[in-house]
Amino acid sequence: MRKRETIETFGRMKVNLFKILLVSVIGLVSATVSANAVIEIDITRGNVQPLPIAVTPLSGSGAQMTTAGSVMEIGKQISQVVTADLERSGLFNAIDPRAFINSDNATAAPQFANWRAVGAQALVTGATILREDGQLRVEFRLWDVLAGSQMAGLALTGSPQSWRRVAHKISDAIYKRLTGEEGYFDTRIVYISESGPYLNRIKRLAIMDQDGYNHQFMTDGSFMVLNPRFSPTSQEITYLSYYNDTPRVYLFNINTGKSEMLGEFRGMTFAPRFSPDGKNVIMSKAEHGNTDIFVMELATRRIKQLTTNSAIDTSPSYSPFGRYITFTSDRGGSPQLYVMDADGGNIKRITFGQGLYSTPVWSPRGDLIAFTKQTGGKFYIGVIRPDGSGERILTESYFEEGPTWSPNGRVIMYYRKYPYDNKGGGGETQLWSIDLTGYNERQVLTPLDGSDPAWSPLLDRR
Amino acid sequence: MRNALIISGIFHAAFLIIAAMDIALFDSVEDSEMVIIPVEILPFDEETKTMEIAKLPEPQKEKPEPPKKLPERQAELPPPPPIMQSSMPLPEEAKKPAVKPKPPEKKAEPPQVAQRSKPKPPSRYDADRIAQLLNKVPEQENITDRLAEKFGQQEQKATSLDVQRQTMSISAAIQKKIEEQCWNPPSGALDAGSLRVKVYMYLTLDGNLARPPVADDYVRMTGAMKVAADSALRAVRMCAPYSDLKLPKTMYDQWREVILNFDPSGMIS
Repeated sequence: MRKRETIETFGRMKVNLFKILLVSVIGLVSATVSANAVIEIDITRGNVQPLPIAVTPLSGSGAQMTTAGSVMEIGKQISQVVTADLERSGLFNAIDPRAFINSDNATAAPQFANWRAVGAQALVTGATILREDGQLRVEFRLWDVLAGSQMAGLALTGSPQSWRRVAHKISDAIYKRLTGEEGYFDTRIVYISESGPYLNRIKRLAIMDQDGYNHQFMTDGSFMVLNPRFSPTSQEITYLSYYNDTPRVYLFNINTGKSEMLGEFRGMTFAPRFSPDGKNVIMSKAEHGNTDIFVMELATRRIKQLTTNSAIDTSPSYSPFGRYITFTSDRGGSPQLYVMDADGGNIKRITFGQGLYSTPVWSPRGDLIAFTKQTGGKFYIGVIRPDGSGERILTESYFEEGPTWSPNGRVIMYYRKYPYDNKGGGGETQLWSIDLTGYNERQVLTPLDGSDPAWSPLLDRR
Repeated sequence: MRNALIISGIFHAAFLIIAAMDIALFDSVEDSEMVIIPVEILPFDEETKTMEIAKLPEPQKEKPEPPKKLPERQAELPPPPPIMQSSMPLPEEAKKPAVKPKPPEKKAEPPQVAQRSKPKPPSRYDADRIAQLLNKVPEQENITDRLAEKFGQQEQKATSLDVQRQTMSISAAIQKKIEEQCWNPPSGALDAGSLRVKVYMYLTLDGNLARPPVADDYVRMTGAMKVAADSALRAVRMCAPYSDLKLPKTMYDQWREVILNFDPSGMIS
């Protein structure tokens, strides 16, 4: 009997021990799990703001002189151009140099605490050095102020006179590192410079850097010019000229300054634009009251008709890889946007909204088509996806048209015309640019009135 | 002889009177005690008392406040009847809340058995009591075990809920600070909205960065993806220190390392 009780007691003890052990193990496991637990948080909102950046004057010797000024002065001017480029993009907020606590020596690591104190998140330092061969070497470094580390560093060498291009290249490098997109500062704009009264307007072909500097007229204004467009190499420009009162498409070589007519056709040719590979020029040709789209192979000057509709087909523009063409046609009763294959097949209408659509231009990124829209007595610049979805209006005014894309597909330039007033004033035409987001609309300053701009590709692709 | 009879008669009478009075007094005492017992039990609807009765003082010491903060937990309390039984053997506690009179139906029965056995001879009384104890002990142990289990589970649930809540509150505080004050997502890239970045943030007990934040797979990143990671890392650094959030130090293990998933898809199309 006692033995049995002992066995039972022992059995009960075993059960209790097992329970205790089980509880201990569970406790230990849960404690371990809890000790290793990591909080995971989704950050889904933020504030899209210009990035605060400090661009210090590039250091350089004030005693060393070049044909473009002292090395120190060039260093300061490069910093100013870089600052202006970045600010104009709308994506950066350049900190006023007067707020700088110190100017770091380009060769030493910056005092990041001082830059954090003025609110900078990015910092540009650098130096200009005059080499023995007379070339200017410009070094710069881009720093992450909060991390205290270098993000980019580059050295460029060129003639002292080319310091503005050097500055734009530095801007492009900074822009690319901080936005992930190619820059667009080392680019040029070709446009129609306008002057004179409304009925006797003088229109000249003009070219300038994207920031308005290095402005030049390429024609003398003795005959009207329209529709200038850069070739993908940036060395050539196509445009429409009324030379001898006959509208024809011409090819202008920037390096040589010479023009040549692209083919001799019956009728009128206009709205030229290069193919992405630069081998073809696509244009409109009007004959016997009908306008169709043609493509010319530049090497052979052979032309091929792409559209045969009795309506007006015009303003053709290639997609970035040349597979598709977007154009305007009124074949549906009013001017609308269409997309077709590069050989003229598979034509699809992509706009069905109210209003008249014209001047479609395919984005260099390929994701959007910019256009001019006219409705309700106003003009608009907008973008739409190639499949016709996602139409978005960016800007509106009394009259504006002729969008052109920055080479990175981020900014659109166009021209705006103001109405004439009763006192004989008004009627000015100006170049404007706007960010793809619809913000950061800015006037692009030109010496005279300006219209019909075209943005070049990045110049370093030459 | 006569005197002896008179004296004997007086003593008998006195004995009877005293006996009668004693019985009445005992009854009244028992009644008064029996009234007290259920009074203590019936208002047993708060977790704090549950803990006392179940003899689980440790959780109470650790968390005296949660019941006020988390009223939902009360809904998970076990029903009162089993707790009434377990509280019976605790007379000292029973006397404390005697102020509150409560329903008399059930309160009289269980004590009566024990009270009636008292006047009986010690041997019989002891046997009954032992028998009762023998019968009741296992039952009481079972009840106590069950209660302990229930309260243990309840406490575990409460603790787990508590941790969840505090974790959520820590997450919300960090999220709010980074989203509202520090994150400036890059909007320029072609697919800016799809650039998701996972960042590991390591904090010291006082809310500073224990070491630099790390973006998952940063070394392999290029272009826009790297820019997106940079913006996330900048946000983490810019928001530091996180001491202003007053993250609970008792839960440091929970926020010593924080994973932040930066996802701009909702704000950049």
